[in-house]
Amino acid sequence: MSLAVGALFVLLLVLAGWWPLRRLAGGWVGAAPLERAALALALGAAVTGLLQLAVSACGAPSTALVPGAAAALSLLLCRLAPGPPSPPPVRAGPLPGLLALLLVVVAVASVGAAVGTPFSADGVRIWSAKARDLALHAATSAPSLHDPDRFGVHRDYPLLVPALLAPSFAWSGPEAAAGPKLVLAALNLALLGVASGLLRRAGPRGLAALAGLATLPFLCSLEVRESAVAGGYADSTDALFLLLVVAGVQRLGAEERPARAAGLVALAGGALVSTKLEGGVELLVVVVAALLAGLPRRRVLPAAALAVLLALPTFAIRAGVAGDEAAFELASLLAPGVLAARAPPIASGLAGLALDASSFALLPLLVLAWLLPSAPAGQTRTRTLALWMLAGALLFLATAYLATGMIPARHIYTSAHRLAWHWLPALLLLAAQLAPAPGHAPAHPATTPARRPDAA
Amino acid sequence: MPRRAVLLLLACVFAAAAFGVSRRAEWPLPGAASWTARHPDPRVVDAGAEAALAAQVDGERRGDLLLLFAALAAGCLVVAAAPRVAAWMGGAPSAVLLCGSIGLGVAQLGVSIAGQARGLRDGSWSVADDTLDRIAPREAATLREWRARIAPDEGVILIGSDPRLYDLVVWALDPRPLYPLLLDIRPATSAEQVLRGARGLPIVRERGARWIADLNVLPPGTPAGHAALMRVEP
Repeated sequence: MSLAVGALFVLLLVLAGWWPLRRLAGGWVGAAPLERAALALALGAAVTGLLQLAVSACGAPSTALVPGAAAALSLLLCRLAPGPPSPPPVRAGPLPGLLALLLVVVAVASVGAAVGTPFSADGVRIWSAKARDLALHAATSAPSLHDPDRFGVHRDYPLLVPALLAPSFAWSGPEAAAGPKLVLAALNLALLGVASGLLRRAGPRGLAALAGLATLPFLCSLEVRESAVAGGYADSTDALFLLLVVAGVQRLGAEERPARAAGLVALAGGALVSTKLEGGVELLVVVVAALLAGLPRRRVLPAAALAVLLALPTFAIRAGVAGDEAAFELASLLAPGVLAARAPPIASGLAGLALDASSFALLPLLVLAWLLPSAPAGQTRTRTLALWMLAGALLFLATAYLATGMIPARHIYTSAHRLAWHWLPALLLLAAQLAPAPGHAPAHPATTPARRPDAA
Repeated sequence: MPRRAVLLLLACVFAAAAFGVSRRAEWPLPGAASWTARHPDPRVVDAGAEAALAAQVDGERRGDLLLLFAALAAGCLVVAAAPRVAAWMGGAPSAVLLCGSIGLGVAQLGVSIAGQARGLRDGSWSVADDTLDRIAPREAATLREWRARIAPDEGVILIGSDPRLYDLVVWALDPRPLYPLLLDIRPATSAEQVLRGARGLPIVRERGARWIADLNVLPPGTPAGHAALMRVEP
């Protein structure tokens, strides 16, 4: 029963994203139906989640009304306002049969790892607890957010994912987890599908990178700490929106008429900020990296500003919640004793992410091996963007762990790999674009007719 | 041919490294313990718990290193056996890393599928709407009984700090208001003593909490002077 409920809500998200897909990304992601469905699911989750939060900020619980209305409106708009015809899809390399088979097996195993196991750890304390609360109450009145005596963990966390899960919880039984976890698993698959659509344009190395991404242990592991799906966390959703932001930012620099790319960055960026606390910092890092890489300021900044506007419900909700114990103590950054105690373990912890084979296999090393050598001609901007993103991510993680109010070793152990996961697909995309094999011209978004020689 | 020889040599080196790592139970970072001893973190209040965490992390580091070396050895072997892969990838290092990564990933994929199949057989993997039995086979009946006794709007004070039991109760008693008191009381404490203490709490007098649940005596068979769930009248 719960699984069927989850499948229904996944379908509604795909439908809700169909019109945004046609308007923002119609000719971009490629012609493969499953890749288009994955992008529609991602955009539908962004639209539905942001609408759900706006409604919740206005005082209504997160019911099936918003997903249903968003799906119906999307279908209506597809008929009434389909928009100008999309440019023909950029030709992508065909998916080899063995890789297609691998993707199918990974999809089945990943969904199985999610729906067949219960919520656990933060999946119980944070994501499902908030979703169940939002199913009954608005975010402006949910007791777990506003009553400091009541059970509530991280009351200041953004609520897009709980708002997406809430209707599935409301329609499932009191103990059921399969439906809500199917929604999370579908977002995990959407990440893989969107990455597939993007990476296939990066030539043979893009296909190789896709195979590496698909076989990450993190995608289907049953070990809760090392799994993107088994515990019921929201990190793959964050990684999905971050990947879309980066892909959109690349298009901002490449297209002659960047309105679609700006819309994509705004929508995905707003959803990113509304998904996890780190999302706001991650959007900032991408924007700063884009500017440092020489992407046009007049295109990047308005798109980022629109993303912040779309996240206003999240800011409004957060301003009203009961205060938690401070998660970070900025004074720690100025205390020599704290810095001396924490700097070496944090440095080793962050360096250890590159060797975290049980979560990421050898993919971080591969990304570094592609990013660190000098870029091929015409790809300097892509490499610069990637390196600034990497530097920003590491700086953010180091600062956060230096200032954490938790015990740093425990904080790193429980979170660093999940936060690194946010960046890995986007960095892999950029790194794969840097490495065209001889005789294979890169065919990523930069190859649209309007591209400049160095456009990323 | 020299490249193939180098790759085979590297495969042997990595395989030997993996074998060496596999013979140890943990892989502590050199110098980490002495640094921590000389520069204690002011946030650390429970040195025993932190030492346990450090041992756990050292064990997981050993596991990661083992997988890493094994994957590198496998990657070297594949590229040595099929040099075309290196040409296709634009270089042997990338090819080794990618082949090793895919090999490790496929092996872990197999582990996940086997784990799910095993779970399907023993009942721990299921898409049925009854997760409580799978999360807490020992406590599920008690928690269902609690859910029957406690009205959805009645508040419950939670005593105890065991994370697993905490998660269980948070999952099972939703949407009842939960008021956590992160403290432990001795299991031998009498019911009257527990209730007397609870009656004085503001959440009972002012917020309508009507039940007190001691997670430490929730597991069936725990000897205690009080029941795991008691009704509190202000």
